[in-house]
Amino acid sequence: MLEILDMSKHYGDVHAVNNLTLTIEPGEIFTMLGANGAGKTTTLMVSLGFTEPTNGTVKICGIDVTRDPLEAKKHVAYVSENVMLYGNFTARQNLEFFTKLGGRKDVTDAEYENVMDRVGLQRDAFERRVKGFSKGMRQKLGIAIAIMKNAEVILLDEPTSGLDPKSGAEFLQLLQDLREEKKAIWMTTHDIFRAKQIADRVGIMVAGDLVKTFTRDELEQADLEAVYVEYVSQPAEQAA
Amino acid sequence: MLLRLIRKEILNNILSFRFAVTYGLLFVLVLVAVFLMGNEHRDRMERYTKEEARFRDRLAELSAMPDPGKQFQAVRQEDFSGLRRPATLAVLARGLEGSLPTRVSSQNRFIMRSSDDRLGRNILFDVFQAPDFAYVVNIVISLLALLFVFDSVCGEKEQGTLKLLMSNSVPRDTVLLAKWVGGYLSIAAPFAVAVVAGYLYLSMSGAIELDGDDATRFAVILGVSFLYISAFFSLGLMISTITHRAATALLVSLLVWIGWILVVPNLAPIVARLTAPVPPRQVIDSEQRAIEREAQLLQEAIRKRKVYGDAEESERIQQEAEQRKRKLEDFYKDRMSSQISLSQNLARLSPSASYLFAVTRLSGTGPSLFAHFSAAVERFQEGHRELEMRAYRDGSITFTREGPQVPGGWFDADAVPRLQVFREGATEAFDAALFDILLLTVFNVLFFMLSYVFFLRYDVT
Repeated sequence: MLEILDMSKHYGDVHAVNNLTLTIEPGEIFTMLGANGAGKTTTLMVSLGFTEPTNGTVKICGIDVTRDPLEAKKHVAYVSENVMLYGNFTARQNLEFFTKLGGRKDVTDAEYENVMDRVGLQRDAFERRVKGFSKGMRQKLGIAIAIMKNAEVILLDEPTSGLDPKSGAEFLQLLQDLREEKKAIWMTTHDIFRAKQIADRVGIMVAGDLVKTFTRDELEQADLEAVYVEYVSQPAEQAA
Repeated sequence: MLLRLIRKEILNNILSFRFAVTYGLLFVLVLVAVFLMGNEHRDRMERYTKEEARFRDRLAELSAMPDPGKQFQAVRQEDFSGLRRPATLAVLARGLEGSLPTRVSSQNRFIMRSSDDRLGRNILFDVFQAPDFAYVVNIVISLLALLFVFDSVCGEKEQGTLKLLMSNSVPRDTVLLAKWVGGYLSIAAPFAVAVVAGYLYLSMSGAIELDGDDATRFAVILGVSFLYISAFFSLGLMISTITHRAATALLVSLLVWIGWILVVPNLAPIVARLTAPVPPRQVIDSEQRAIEREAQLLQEAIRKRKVYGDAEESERIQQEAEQRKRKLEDFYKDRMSSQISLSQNLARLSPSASYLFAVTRLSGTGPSLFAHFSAAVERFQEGHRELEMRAYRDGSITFTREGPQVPGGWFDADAVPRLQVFREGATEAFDAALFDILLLTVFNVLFFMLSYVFFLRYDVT
């Protein structure tokens, strides 16, 4: 479970995130929409312990990320917008390295192969160097790494950007599978259509404020695109 | 965890193009340096052995002369050579080995260089001096070490892998230590292989013969070289933790390298000359000549007086003059020694200077060689003067119209002084080099500590 309690992050006069409070339960997909600079990625960076909040707390499975980042990171997996891996390593070497770094031991070859199949990466790509991979292939490998970590919380920073429609659809299916496995999933995206399709809840962030949250039922009825455009078009103070 | 990260660093390095280039360069440069210096040492040793044999033959020739009078004349006219044995470990660090004469004259205070050294060979060898092992390590490998590590942290950040790495439960100090160990092993291992290959060449080609003492020095020189490389490696790591872009890190690394390798060591003697000036040698010489002239004039005036007791006064004037000249000489030597010491200490701001001071000291070719050599030449020439004077003093030689009358068997070939340059033992050399070795250790610790501090605050996003 991911709990963000009254968290703010300020860089001098710039208020990247303002008093954000949010909880994502196991088996829930929360999708955060917002324009560039809205504070989505900053929230992720704070949640990963890369930067400390100005105030408030972020807890992963009840562990305060600021106080005990190493323990908290054991329970979180992260996939960035543009997954970058060690280019000189093969896909298998990257997967093995990050899996073991994530704390997994005694992982069998079959498990590696299964996860590669699951994310839709061809077997012949397994032994190829990653520097020759397309963005989509790297994203799939990044997801495979996140899955292999077997973490309770998964943080995804615009993971579908740049993916072709087929890969995007496969990716959404994968997220649904992970939800079935009771993972708490946070995903930031600009893709309103996919957000609506997959999310249990959708939030809209404007200038560091979470200005609107939709539940699954509300999403069914709302014109999410129109609401989103309305919010991001307003001046920041008015949106808040 | 640490081992896994170290393995990753090593594998990542080994699979990179940079590693292949570094490995090739290291191998070629170390072998070329060892090959050239080994051959140069073999040539020097051959010349030395030849001259030594010629010297012994000449002594035997003189001993065998039947007429003691003619023998005496021949010995007086003989210009005995003092031969300096080349330092074996100059193959690693040439130092002053190529600058100091290999042969000195027993008669003239003027020190001769063996004609074979310069005139008998292509002078371009002096223009383009062969790089020795210390040069390769000091200049080339230090640069390679920096180029190997400058983007270790900032490059990963720029590439995007650092964020993924740090999203795992990995302490930052472990990541940094793994980067240091993995990266350093990636450059130290090919260096060690190249050194072993170089050593095998030297021992199998017979270019050098190492006794136990030399072998110890050889091992310590290698240890110091590894320490020096690691100082630059730690520096590069530190630079990569204070920059956020590989291009910036490369620029900073090159600037620091230029400053440390080229600017500081070359600037140090100039700054020392300005802050601790030494009067020119000509001024001291002319002052000493003036004292001598003054004493001569006084002695002449005393001789003209022809009064009882003048001989003692004349002797006293002579002694006073000698004392004043000695004081002047001591003053000059003190000032020169202070200036040299200041130059050394200023140069030590760069690890490059510490490295060169340490390895030349250990190989017996450093500034101490000059001091030992000068003292040996003085002893050698004094010994020859003494040899001749002794014959006059003990009254065994008398001069008649027919020439000198000398008793048979007066000449003892074994008593002819040889040039013996003091050579420190490995332990003494290590003790003398210890300060520079410690400085290199301090540079290592300092840079790693700073890397650690900077990396703890490093923005991985």
